[in-house]
Amino acid sequence: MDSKSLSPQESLDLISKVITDARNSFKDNGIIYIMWGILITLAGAGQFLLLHFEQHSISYFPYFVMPVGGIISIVYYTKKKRRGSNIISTLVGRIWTAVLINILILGFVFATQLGNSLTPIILLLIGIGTLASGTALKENMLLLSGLSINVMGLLCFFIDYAYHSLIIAAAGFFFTLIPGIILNKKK
Amino acid sequence: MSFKDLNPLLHSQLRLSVISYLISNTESDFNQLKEITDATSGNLSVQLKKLEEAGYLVIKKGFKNNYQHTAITITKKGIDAFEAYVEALKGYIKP
Repeated sequence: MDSKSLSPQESLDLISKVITDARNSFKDNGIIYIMWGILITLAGAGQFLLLHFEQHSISYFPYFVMPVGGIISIVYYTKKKRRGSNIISTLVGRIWTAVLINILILGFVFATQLGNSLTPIILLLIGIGTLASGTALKENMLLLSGLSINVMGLLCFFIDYAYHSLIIAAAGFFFTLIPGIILNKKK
Repeated sequence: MSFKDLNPLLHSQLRLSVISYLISNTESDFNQLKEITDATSGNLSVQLKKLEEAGYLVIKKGFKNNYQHTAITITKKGIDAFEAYVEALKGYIKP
């Protein structure tokens, strides 16, 4: 690239390309969605199985994988940030940090108070996070996934608690893991 | 057709790329800008110097993990200049 002068249209095209490239540089994060998809699916399915076999006292144990996922995400994004960050990556990173911290506090501190409302609230938070990520990254698939998780969260209020964990597993599989795999293939 | 209303400092391929990138990124460094713009080190240094002299950028040389590191950030003046440049461009593009 040299320092030649440009026509106005070339200038606009150049600005658009550089800004789009900057946005796309953050899009290669399908891998983190895959990880969370696996963790959410396993945690939900694990809890469902434990409840099915009447292991109520330890039914929340599978969710201990969530802090592990949080640590892996922090390491991943810290390394990524060393290669440069932009407004979009900062925004998405902060949204998910807030979502994760709130889920951990709700799940491990307020679970008893929230009772049957815990799952819908967690799904709503994940849904809003996915929706915001999809909007920031201009990724319609994530946008649609976020909306779907949001709807699943609201539906949970009408579904028996025994099936809530199964809904979490389904949300993780269909709307986090699969979009993650597709994102990863697209990069 | 002359583009006299367009800021001459920004109306160049390399300098505009640098400023556009810094607009959408909170921070950058010399190697990253070199990679993105595909410019030679010499040319990039000269253009960065011009932008710095205009007060559009702040260039800080130092060390990161024992390696020489040149951090580059856009200033408020640089952001204002970019916004004014885009506004002026619109005038040329609009029918």
